[in-house]
Amino acid sequence: MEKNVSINRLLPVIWGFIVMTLISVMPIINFINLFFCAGIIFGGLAGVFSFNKQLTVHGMSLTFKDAVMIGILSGVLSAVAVSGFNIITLMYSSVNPVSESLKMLGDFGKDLPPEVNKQLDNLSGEFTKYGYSPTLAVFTFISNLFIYPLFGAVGALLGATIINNKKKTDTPAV
Amino acid sequence: MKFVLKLKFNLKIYIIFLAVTFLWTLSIYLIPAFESFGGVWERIADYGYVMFASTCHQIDDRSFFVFGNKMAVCSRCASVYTAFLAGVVLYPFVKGLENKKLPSIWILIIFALLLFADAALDVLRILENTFVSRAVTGSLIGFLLPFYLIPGSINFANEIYDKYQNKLNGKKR
Repeated sequence: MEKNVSINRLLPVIWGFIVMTLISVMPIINFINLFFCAGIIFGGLAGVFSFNKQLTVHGMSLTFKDAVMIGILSGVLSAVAVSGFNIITLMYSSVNPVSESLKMLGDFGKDLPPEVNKQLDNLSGEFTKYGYSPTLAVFTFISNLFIYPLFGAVGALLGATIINNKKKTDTPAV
Repeated sequence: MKFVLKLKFNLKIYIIFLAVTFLWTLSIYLIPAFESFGGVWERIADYGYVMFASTCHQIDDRSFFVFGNKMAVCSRCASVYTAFLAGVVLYPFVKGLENKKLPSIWILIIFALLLFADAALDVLRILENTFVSRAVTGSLIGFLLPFYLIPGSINFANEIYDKYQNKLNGKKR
């Protein structure tokens, strides 16, 4: 890529981050993520399409390297934001999700093994004490840090493959 | 010579892609197995379920059960991942590692729409989906995706490799 042309690399990352985060935190819309993280994949795609729009103006072509970086960075930022948002929501909510889940399981007549019950009681105790569970928050944050960049990169890679393939098809044979 | 080196490099990238896919897919089958072992394994499985919870609803009635326990993801996601692994395994035999031609984007759109329709019609209570419909629509898209993602991953790795080689050559001069 030529270095004398100014390309804003932050903008596509922000676009990817916004799409991923909004889909993940908006009620009802966040059900999209239940289809193998389709919302995160859309975020990666959005970032890459935004970057490609800039490149097209300057007559440059999209590289897979840049596309994957956009997906990963958007994913990392979104993982941090979504994890933070979830903690804040839980802190301001009076609902203890562990107790609710245990109650639901009880309603369905499902008995959990005593060891699992003990662990869930510990988590429930953390919710009662702090308003959120530090153990669950740390674990969710780590798993989000893995899942968001991974699926973000998948979306970005898919976007770059489609864009580059389309460019090849559009270019008339010489 | 250069062609052979490139092919060897592409093979390495493919093996990494296959390994990651295999581990991911294996984990959705291993988690219910660990759950049945009890003790520390059960604890690991519990964290596994939490990890996959952010990618799937894990509803009992919509999930396959193995080793007496629910899989880490629902039947649709399990079908997507398993078919994805099958697609990755078959890819070099069908297309070869030097392939740069993708299937038509319309096939991807049609398969994605089928999956979306299967879910949407059920949510809207127009047509209730079944284990078979979820597994079929999930498998179709899962099997197709590697045919877009593997060429992309190989191109991505080649770009990084070429850049690194150019840097090395620049230093030598």
